[in-house]
Amino acid sequence: MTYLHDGTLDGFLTCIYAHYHSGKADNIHAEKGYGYPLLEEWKVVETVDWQARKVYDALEERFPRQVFLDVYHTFLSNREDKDGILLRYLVLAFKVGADIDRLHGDPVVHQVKKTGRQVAFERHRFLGLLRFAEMEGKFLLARFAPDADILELVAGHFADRLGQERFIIEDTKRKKAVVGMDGKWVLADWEGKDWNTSKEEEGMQGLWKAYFHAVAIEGRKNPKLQRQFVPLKYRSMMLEFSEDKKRDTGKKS
Amino acid sequence: MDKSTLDKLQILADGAKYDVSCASSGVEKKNQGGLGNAAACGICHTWSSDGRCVSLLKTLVSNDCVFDCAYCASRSGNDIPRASFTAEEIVELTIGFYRRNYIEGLFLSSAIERSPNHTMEKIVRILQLLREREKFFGYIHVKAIPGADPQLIHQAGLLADRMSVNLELPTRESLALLAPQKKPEKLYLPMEQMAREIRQSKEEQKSFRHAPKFVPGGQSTQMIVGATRDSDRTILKATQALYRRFQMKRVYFSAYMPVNGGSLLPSLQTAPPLLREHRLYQADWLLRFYGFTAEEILPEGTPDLDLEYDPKIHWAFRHLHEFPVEVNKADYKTLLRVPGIGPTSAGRIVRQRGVRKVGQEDLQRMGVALKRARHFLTCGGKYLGDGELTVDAVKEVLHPLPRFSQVGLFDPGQGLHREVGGFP
Ligand code: SF4
Repeated sequence: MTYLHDGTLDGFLTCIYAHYHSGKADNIHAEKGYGYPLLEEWKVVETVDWQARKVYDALEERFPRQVFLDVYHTFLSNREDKDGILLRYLVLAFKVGADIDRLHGDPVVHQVKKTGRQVAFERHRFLGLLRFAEMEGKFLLARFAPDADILELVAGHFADRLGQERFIIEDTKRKKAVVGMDGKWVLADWEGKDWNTSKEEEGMQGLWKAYFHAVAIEGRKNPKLQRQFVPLKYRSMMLEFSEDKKRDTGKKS
Repeated sequence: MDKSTLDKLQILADGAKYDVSCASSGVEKKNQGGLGNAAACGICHTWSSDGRCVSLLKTLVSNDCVFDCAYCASRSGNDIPRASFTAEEIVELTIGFYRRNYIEGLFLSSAIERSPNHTMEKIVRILQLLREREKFFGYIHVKAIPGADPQLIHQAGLLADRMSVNLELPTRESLALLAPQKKPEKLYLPMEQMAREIRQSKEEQKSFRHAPKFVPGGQSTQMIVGATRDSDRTILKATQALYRRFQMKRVYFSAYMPVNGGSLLPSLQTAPPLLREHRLYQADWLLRFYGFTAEEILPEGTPDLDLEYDPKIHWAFRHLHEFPVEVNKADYKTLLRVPGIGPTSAGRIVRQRGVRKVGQEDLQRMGVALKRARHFLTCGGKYLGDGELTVDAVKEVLHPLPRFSQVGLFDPGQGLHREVGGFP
């Protein structure tokens, strides 16, 4: 039996609750993107807040904090089978207890820890790579399209960092955004709007590009290494690479 | 005509680029009602075309130097465009870049403009503007200018996250040869002062939570590699002494890039010794995270690091009689000495061992580089290598990477911005 949820963490946790209280699940999946294979039995599980809460509390109380973080991060990953590997992990976790966090060599644990790490790493990477531009009216706008659903994971960092500033971080792939001000933020559905950049923006971008080129040491040039750190897919959002892109495509044609 | 901010930025960022201490790590700080915070793990914002991480706005305040150090592009004897930023220009750039998330903060260095005191005063002024007027809580690293009044260094230390004095050369003789105006005593003085004040401030923190923090991110320094004939052993022992005597957070190495001619220096055609720099960073990690001493890495009679094999496996080759060790018995320190096992994987092995035996298949999932490690391990009594453990047998399987494919082998970005991490 495959349990289907509404795509939220609460929905997933409700499925875990159902696994223990109304019949075993062999697999879990979000409704969206589920292929409804012919030979598979499935059931839609409505999200029930208190049931989700119960599972969440159990995770908080019985396990080190890291276990919840691994589960949460893995849930945000774009792996097709993430709900399934989480189900197997949680079943094992409730069996062995807090020690689950020490079984680094166990294949089920390893899969979750690895996936969680990848998501945490993508978040960490975007803390550096995200670029804001100042718009008319002085607010800051950043756009990105991360692989994992990390918008919420980066929001707190920027809300603290930017203090009094008003800012918007838009996930263009998932059509949602974080809107922040005074250290606080809210999540909203978002259709991309077009704004004009402020008067100062172009000058500051020019200074940044000039800086970026000035710091490279000619005698140590190493584009391969650079590419390892800044994969091409991120470069469209980074203005210091805007010229390179033109050059790169120029070469290929 | 006055130079524009853009012109100055090009000249002064260019002048600061050989300073490799780009780290923004080591300080965790929340925004306290202004702009900015700091993350202990450090954040890279981009990577320049030489593959180095860019985390800070790294610039000179001025390149108009009254000194004449032989290895330096800004030396007074060079005919180059000169520029100096005003304090306000630097503040505007820092805030402008920071708000847009281009950078984690500021790294300020400077040539000696007029006098050490004049230069240090300007650095302090910039710190005050950023911290007090702009309420900027991002990361700031500034140079302590040797020869400046200790009071100025004290003031800077209360506002900066990290400070550094670059030693540049590891011996008195090399300094006398290439930087005769720099006396080792003069370089040690501010290092000594900072180490003392950092210790004091940490002590005071224990009793008064709100005691002022002095350079909470610690101090660092840098040495040039390849401008003189100093051996790796000399450099590594100096490095160890710097960690011990001044509790340095980090010692950086910079492969010498010839910028000036002169009979005292390698010729202008000399390629920067990047692989040597890489090996020194590896040795430095062994000092900081693996419990090795400089003497263990390079014993008497071994002046230089091997360019073919990394210093850890090289140490293992010389100590084969101590291997193999048993995964399920060896203590953490012993595991750390196994090539292919780093602090992370050693930690995981020890953690799992308390609950469940570590099996052979577990090792890879724990992040152990089995290709290397297996020759030095038994698991549940079974030797994981093949045949006999000899240096030749291990070399045979490892086939070192071709000697001159140094590029891509190592990521200076990683070694530089991070203060913790693993080992190949
Ligand atoms: S004092 Fe510094 S800037 Fe001046 S010449 Fe020496 S190394 Fe260069």
